Amino acid sequence: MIRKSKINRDLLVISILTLITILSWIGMDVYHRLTKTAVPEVVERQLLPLDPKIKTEVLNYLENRGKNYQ
Amino acid sequence: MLLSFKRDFFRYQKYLLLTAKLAETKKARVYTGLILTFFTISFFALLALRPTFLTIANLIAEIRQKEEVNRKLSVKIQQLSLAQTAYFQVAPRLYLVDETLPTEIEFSSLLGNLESEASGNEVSFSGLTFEKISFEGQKEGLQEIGYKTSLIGSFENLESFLEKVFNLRRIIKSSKFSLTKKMVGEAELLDFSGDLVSLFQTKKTKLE
Repeated sequence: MIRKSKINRDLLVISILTLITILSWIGMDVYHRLTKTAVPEVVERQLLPLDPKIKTEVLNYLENRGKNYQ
Repeated sequence: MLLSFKRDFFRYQKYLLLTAKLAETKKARVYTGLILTFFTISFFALLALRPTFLTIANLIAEIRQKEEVNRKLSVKIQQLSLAQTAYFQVAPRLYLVDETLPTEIEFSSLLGNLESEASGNEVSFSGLTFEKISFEGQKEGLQEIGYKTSLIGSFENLESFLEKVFNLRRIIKSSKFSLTKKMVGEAELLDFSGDLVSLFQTKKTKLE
């Protein structure tokens, strides 16, 4: 009788541990999927910021360079 | 077969009876119920809940990514719009870049510039030899045209000529040069011999 009761308790512990393991596994999987970034490389390149300013100093310099000689 | 069953029945009879007796106790019923409950939850969590939660997580992550991409694209569109405005503002002056670094060799304009500067500074060409240029297998990027120049003129005129040539909008560099005295009639002039280099930028062109 005592032996049977011990088996029952062991089985209960195993079932609880199994449940905890499975829930942790699901939790980690879900967290991994939520934090995973999978933007394609092409899109990533297209999203790179662009500096809309054009350095007109170079054009000013070129305009002055050879101004008298063209 | 029948004999085997009977033999097995007698062998395991006591266990079966014990199990039946145990099932009648409250403790065993509670334990069994709990164990079965936990295993059932585990089973369904593994086979039913996990795929569902993963699908939900995937969709949430995808929505977040799309929103982020959308936000970044909006910023990029604004930047492109600003860049286009800036480009339209400087577009009329972009010929300066082409004049400085033409996309083709443009011998005629180069020679025209050199000739006009020479005549303007009273310097005469005694020789002008261009290096051989191969157009086959030409790479994309900055290219050089080298040429040997021989000029005759006074020191002041040569100095003025070189200053103006090196300040032309078209880039002209000198890698080395030499000056030698030369008597032309009664006048003492200088003979300038130099290796000059001009630059141009080739672009990749598709051969049809």
